[in-house]
Amino acid sequence: MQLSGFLGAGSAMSMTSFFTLTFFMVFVPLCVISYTLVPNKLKKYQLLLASYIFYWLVSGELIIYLLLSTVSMLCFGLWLDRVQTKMKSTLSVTPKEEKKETKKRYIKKQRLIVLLAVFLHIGILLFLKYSAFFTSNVNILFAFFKIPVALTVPKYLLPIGISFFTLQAMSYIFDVYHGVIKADRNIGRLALFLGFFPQIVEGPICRYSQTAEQLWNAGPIKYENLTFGIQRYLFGMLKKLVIADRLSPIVIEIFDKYNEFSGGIIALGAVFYTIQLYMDFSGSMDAVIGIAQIFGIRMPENFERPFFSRSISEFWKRWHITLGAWLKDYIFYPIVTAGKMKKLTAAARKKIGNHFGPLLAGSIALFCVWFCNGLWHGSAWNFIFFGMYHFVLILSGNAIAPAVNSINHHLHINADSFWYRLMQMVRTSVLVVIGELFFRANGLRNGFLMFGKMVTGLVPNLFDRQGLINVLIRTGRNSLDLIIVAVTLVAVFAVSILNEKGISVRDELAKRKILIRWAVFYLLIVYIVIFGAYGAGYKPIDPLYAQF
Amino acid sequence: MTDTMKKVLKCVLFIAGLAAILFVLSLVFFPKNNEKKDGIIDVAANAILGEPENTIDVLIIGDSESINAINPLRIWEQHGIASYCCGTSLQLLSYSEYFLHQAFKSQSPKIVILETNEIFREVTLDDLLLHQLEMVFPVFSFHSRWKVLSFRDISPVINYTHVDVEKGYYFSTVVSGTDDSDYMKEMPGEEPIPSINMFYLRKIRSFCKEKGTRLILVSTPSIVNWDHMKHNSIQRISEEEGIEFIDMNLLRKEIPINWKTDTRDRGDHVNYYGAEKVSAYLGKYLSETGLFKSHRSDPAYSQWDVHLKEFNERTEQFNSESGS
Repeated sequence: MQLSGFLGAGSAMSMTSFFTLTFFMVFVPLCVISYTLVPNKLKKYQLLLASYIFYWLVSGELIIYLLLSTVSMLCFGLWLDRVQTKMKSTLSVTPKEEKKETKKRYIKKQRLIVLLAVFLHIGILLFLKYSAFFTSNVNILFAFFKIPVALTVPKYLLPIGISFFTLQAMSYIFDVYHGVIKADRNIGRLALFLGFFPQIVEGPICRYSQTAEQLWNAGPIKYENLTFGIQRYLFGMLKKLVIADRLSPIVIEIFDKYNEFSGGIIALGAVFYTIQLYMDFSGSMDAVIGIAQIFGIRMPENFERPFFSRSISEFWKRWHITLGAWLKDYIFYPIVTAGKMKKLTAAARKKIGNHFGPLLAGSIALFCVWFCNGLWHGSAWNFIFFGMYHFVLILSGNAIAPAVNSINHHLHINADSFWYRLMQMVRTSVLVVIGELFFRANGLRNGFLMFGKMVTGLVPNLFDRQGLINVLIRTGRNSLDLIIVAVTLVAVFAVSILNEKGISVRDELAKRKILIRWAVFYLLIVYIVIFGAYGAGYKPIDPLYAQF
Repeated sequence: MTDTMKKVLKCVLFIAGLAAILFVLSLVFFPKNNEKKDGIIDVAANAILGEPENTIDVLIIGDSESINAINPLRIWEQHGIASYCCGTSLQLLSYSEYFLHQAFKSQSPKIVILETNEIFREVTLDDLLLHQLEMVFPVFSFHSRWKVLSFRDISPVINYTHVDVEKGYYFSTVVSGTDDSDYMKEMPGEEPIPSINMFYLRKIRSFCKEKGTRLILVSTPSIVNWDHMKHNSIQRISEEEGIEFIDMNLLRKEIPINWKTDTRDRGDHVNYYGAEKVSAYLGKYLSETGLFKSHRSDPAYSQWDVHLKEFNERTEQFNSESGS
């Protein structure tokens, strides 16, 4: 049966952006109204239905992958649970001397189940997302060795959010395996945990223990949650429409035609892209968290002011937090705590000391983490390079840490002073911007060419005014666009500083008189209406992370 | 008053306050003139606002096909009929409807021509919603004017002064020919028309009916954008909805487009030479409707002759420079 177009299947692709009118003026209000109208005990089913309608509207028949993942989660979870229960009952009647062997047997069985789950979930992801990349590289190899074979490069439709919900499904299975959570027998709860509509496009990658129960027990909408949720959403809209989307055409122009620009403009392009990516992704996260809050759901934060980081390692604890945590918990720790790795660490500790010993062993796990991180972002060499770039930075940062501490000590440098911290933040930001240059470049080769041009041409063209004017003219923008971006960035930065100091702007505002509160909200809305990049002369820009 | 009632009242008051602010902002942001420096996009199409009241006989709406193919000055020269092209690049039916409303504020054209290519360009739900918002609060349409706002914008007085010499027509003498061997080959079936597009098409038809204006669907010649499936769709709709339809792509004898010389971009749009043929046919067709009398000797239309003279001088200059 042809499903395309059936009951609106895939007809509202634009809703993958949380800031389209269809999403926030039609879909969300309809959800809120119907959610309010249904009795409390049915609210969870309303959320589930809304989530599946959403996915059906944006993905059409590709919803089958979401259903498959949900059913697979349920089955693997219950299978693991059955083996674990059997293990416990068997161990309780097993003689002490045989217990170890019996346990080992059951754990092996569980590992096989997990392996099968990984094979299925990650296999589908790899197949859909990476088979084109793999075959095209094999063809390059064939051509290089003059083998007269050319494989057909496959093209598959990628379900929206598959990179996110696959990791979420895997985390559930791993957590059941590790005994962190009990296997869930309720497919509705699992389906809602995996498919909750605000989170499915760009995450955050939630753990079962973080959101599953909350979602399934969601109660009536509270006035405070409604207002706080809308405020958070509007703040995200400000970031996305006023900053990210206004910078987008400038970034496209510089990255697509970098050979027409000086090193200074390329550097500016990399800075603009980093700002765009941050504002786009964190703005979308504000929307996700804000919408979830309307329904009383607390989603995990994905960003904690990453540009205040003093090192790359810290940066990744503040940027795309849920991905970093996933990779740490399910790749890094299992590798470093594996028996052979422990032995390697002990041996290395003896040979090269207490600092470099664990570092060497840890670097293997770190390599795997960053290879996966790079690859997760996309099927291209520049993404893999991006991962490796951060691997090298973090590893070298860890390696030289004692030496840096020693130098600081001998030179009486206070590492906690404002200027030292500022220097570290600036250094980290510069390294991040360089990484993003490769990340955004149209292929790894172009990334290197851009980097080369930037490094060699930066000093003579640091303030290439004419070049900047050319970019603005070509994109139909002018200096006023940059001024409005700068002003908005200052406002976002000010909110970030307050947040960093532990002050919640929303809480503070809620304490003020109604006139002040309303004046601030009106100002925010009017600011977005006037300075947002939408309507005639602007092309709607899809959320950047929905592509990964 | 219960707590819930208070909260509902607060929400209603907040929304009312917001609507009031948007209303005031709309007054400020609405362009007070129709020149480019006033922040007007699609200046040529909007220049219809500067035309003297009730002087336009035929209004043309559509996408770039319309502005490339129909030359109002040539129709004027040959028949004394004043037409105006409000087409814009990639125009959506929602935007066409906007132009219709704008134009009818000061004009009463007897015929509205809708170029059919845009009927197939999907108007999404987002486009529809934004369009509705723009109609209620024009600040959504003109918000980018923050770059050109001045104290003058505080005054609600609107005075459109800009007129377009070419009456919305896009003059291009570029020649980039193409092969026409597959052009308009018979094909069964129909090109689907999105439901929101049909909604707007019916709105446009109703509007014209209400104003007593004749609506004509016209497909101007295009190899790239037109085929038999599209023709079949529009033919059926024209019969069902009772709208006149002229498919110039099938009138190859009457409009002898030479696709080697009469297109500027390999059959996507016709160029000046193609537009001459299209305009000659359309002018004759309009004249034969019997709805118009020539305004050539009417002093109210004196600027048309001035503009025609300017245009002819431009084409002559081009011809002498290119040696043709």
